[in-house]
Amino acid sequence: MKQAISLSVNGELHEVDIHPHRTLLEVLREEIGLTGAKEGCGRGACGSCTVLVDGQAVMACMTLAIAMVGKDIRTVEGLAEGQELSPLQEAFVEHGAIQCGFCTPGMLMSSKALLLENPHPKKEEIKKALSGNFCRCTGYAKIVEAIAAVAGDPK
Amino acid sequence: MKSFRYISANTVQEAVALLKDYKGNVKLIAGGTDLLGVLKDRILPGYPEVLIDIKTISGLGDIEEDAEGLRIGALVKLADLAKSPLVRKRCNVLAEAAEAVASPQIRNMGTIGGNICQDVRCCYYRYPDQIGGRILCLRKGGQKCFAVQGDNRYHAIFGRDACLAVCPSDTAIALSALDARIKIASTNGDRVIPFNDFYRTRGNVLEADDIVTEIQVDQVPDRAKQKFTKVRSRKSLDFAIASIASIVTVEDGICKDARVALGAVASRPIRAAKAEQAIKGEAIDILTAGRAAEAAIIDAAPLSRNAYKVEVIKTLVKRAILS
Amino acid sequence: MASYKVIGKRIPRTDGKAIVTGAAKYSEDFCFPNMLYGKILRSPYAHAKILHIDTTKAEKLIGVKGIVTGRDSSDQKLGAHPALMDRDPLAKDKVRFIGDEIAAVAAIDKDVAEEALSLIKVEYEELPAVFTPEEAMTGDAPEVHEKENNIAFGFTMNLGDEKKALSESSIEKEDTFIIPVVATSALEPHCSVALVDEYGRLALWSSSQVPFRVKKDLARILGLPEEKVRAIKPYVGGSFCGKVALQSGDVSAALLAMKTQRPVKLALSREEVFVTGGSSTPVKIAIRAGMSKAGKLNYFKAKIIADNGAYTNHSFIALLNSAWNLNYPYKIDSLSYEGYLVYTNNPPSHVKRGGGSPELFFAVESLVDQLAVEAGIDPFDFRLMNSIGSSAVTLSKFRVNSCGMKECLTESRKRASSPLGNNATSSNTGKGVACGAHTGAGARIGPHDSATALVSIEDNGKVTLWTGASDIGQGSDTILCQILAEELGVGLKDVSKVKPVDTTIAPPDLGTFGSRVTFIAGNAVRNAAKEAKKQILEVVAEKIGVSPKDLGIKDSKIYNEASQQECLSFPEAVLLCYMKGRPILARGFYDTKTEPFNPQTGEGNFSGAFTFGAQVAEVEIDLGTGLIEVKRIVAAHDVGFAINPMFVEGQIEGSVAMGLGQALMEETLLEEGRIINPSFLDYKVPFSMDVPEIEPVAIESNDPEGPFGAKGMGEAGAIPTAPAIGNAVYAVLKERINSLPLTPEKILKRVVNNKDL
Repeated sequence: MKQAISLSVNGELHEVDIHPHRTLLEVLREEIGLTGAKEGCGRGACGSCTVLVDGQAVMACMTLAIAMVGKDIRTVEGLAEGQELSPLQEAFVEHGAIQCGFCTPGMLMSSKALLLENPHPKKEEIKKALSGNFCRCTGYAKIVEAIAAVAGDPK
Repeated sequence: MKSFRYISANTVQEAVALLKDYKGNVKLIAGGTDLLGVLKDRILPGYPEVLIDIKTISGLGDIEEDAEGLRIGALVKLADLAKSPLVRKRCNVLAEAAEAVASPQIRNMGTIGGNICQDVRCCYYRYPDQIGGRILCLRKGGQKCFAVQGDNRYHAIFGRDACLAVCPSDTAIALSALDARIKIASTNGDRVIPFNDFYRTRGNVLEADDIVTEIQVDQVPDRAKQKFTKVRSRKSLDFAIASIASIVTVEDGICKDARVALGAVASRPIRAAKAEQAIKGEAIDILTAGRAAEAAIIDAAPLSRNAYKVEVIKTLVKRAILS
Repeated sequence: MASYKVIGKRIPRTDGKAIVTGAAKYSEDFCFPNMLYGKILRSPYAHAKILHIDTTKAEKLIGVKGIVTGRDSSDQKLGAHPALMDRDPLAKDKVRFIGDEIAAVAAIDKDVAEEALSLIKVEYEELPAVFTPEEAMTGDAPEVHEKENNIAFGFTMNLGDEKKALSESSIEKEDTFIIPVVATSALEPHCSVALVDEYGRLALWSSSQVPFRVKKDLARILGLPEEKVRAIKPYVGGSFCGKVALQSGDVSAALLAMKTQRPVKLALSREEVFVTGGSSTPVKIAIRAGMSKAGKLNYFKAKIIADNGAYTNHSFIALLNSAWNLNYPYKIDSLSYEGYLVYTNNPPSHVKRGGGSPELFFAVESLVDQLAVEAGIDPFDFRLMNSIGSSAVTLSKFRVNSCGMKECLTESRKRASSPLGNNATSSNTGKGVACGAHTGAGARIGPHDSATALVSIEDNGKVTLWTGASDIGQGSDTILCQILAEELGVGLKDVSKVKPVDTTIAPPDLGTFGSRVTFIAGNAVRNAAKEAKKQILEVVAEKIGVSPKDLGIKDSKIYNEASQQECLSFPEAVLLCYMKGRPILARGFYDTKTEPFNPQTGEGNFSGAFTFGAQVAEVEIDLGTGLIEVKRIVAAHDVGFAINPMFVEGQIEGSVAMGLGQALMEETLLEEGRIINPSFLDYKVPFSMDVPEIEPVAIESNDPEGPFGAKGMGEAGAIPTAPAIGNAVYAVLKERINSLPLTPEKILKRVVNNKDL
């Protein structure tokens, strides 16, 4: 039985008609058209589906969309301010923290969550905040470097 | 995943009543980090008709202190447990255990109630119903435990129970050492039982209409040294090869009290009672620590590939005592 | 020392914005109107005859729009080598591994597709199966394909002067190494989106390294002329060789799209990727080496048995590499090799990053380390004294035109914290060094190994690069633009590349594999840039009455070489070309000056360049738990010339992390043909806290043939890591562990037996 629900994503309300077993990741990608969050494993073990819910990094693939009514959901598409990249996004580009880019949205959201809570993280704290986000390309070095470069600016 | 009906409960009474009504055909969902994996992989022959979301029940997500210690709501997130000043002050070993679970995202989603109730992680049990079909092992009512002759490196070294899968919960090990209590609600009312009685040889004591509502922990005396250590192949998103929660009180070099719980070695947390006895009242040195370590594993019956866990446990016990 | 304007600079990805905003589209991000979702039915048996497939119930399920089986596919097979085309995209008469594709369904959503699979009834006759190559090679093992002793491919080679080598070898050592399967584990699962477009072409968006090969093979299998098939490579979420061929899912999606006349998206689950989406070829390597008392290496003798699994993908490359790699980086007088790729009923083996080199060098570098210890020579010095240099020609007649092996060793030694050998700082810390080598310019395995590039310039001076080179995350799109801008004398901001790679638009390129893109596509692009420059300068020269030889382009200006006077701006010059009726459209082509390798003779210079590297691993072992902590890795790699130093570092860092995973924690666990750990929880890839400090060092040996001296190095960093760690473990335990990964179980077994530890 489908249910009509309203989800707040990046500050905008979206009305969707969904079955209860649909995950937040599926609804974001297939109903709302936000394909930034990715499905790397579907089991919460790779972090490529990381989004923020009420400021906390969570795995969208292991979250039921229907349980997200009334929550503030943020995805990678909401990081930039219009056409302007946020300092965090800029830093990822400038520091070579991107290779294939598939982990990047999840990494950005985990980093954003970290900086919201701890604007001046040490390198070890950055690595820990990213410890649920798998990257096969970069070896994490330049991702950590990019975040360290903006530590201090939680935008 | 396959579909189900979704009901969000507003009170504990509502939730237990629904559990009774849909007996056997229903699952509770809190954080969902274990349940949704089980459902997506269809590891079990049955599939719930209904999911009851208990995140919407207020009053189960708080940490409160009283004269004895803390009352921790079952819905307290692992991340909140890990950074709670109250938990760090009163029973830091629990904060350390919560911090060691999985990944930041899963700690943000997962609850302490879910963590202690989670299903086992044996790779045969967890094999998805894809590509060859689910594995119908002994735990699921099949004929055979595949770990006996298969890859049992992560399985039990204590207890030749029919199922060799270990209790995967990190917080459970800390709660065992803390001699915590667990409050369970049902349609027949509430009851509080010792945490060390929570697990059975397979699963836990929860009946069909039971819900864990609260964990009660007595404060650890300031003079005790408490620590949780998790040995694992990689530093995040990994279950323990072996773990230990220890609360040891040493005064003037003599052990006054010792509580040591071992993790990932059996279907439940194992209180290393013989090790505790070996050092209580003794002077703490390398020799007594060594004797305690030997006592801790005296009943170990390793499988074909996990004898190394015995060595790891000995190391953990020694270090816990000497630290 | 040349001073460059664009290359040699740390320039960020030109398309970074698309990625950090989530706008970049990978295959699974595409949606088309009326699109259906595809799922594949897979065999639950390792070996069985298919007696009957009944799809009637599934077809009747509401929401199911099409089902295909082996009957819907031609007799054309999948395969990477003409002599090893052994796989039907959908099994016809037999299934040969657990997971073998049998049927595919297209439905209105994934849930219906999943349910439809459960309604397809397949009648099997189970057959005896075989799961180890040793067993499979015995005469009475079950036959996986009709091949004697189940040998898919095998060869021997005996090169050089064995008699001399043996006579001069007063010290010999041999050992056997077992390296199991590791999964490529690219983060993006394979996904195919197929539709029949408005021109009647079968269009396929596929997560692939090789769109042109996909097009060719798909046309062949579908029985369509090539111009009726269009393959598009969108953003790809990594592949590491797991996406280097046409996939069964690509074919199923195409068949379903043609049958239903609707777009079909078929994405593999992570579990399916573990089984069919790419892995290394597991090997048992028995290797022997001889040296003089003074430490001169004389010969290698190796026997390799490789588990091909049920079908041949690129596993034959792993076997070839295991032979090629014995040629370098050491100078030896004799090489004896015997290698077999053996069919079993395990899931098909592939290659992963390094194409078999990581496995081979784990064996070689462990053995070389043993020899150094035996000779009492410092492990760096031992390797230095035996290394080849530039202008070497190896026993298989590989022409090593540039070789920075010695510099890699000296540089990594300099940067490692303290001397190696017995000078450990404490009894549980140690360091190890290891070398590695690999192709740095592709591998000639077909009639050509070429790339073509086109450069067009609009009348406002904006330069467009057209190339089929496939960026799968290594940043090749950016560095090709850097090469173009540098050669043409314009700024990077004035150059852009046509994206995505679409076979109807891009000039042909064999794709990304064998570290070929920088060298081969880079040269093609450079040649196109030279041609474009020539076209422009001819027009300008005519206009101002000089010889084109007198002119040059730099900083987006045409100038007189002699007087250094500016003549025209670049946009003005380009506009002039249009006004003269000679718009710039330049072609560049490059094929390596190589020959196919002949397994019969053991000779044939298959690659245009080779890359070398040395890594030092510093480890600390917890002797109480068996856990190995890698504290630091210094990784020095010969890249020829670093077109983009930031990208080079990124490749080294990423590939070292991969090597670390293979060394310490990664292993695909197989039992009776079933992968029992098809998840990122049970298959342990390294996360951020697992990767130590890595110091990447780019050594520039300036290859004479590479574009600006550059060579490919996207795989090289994954090669020396495991042996470097293994040798460091030896430094602590004084015992070798000859299998990967180096788990606590294996460490503790040795600790318990060694009273000295």
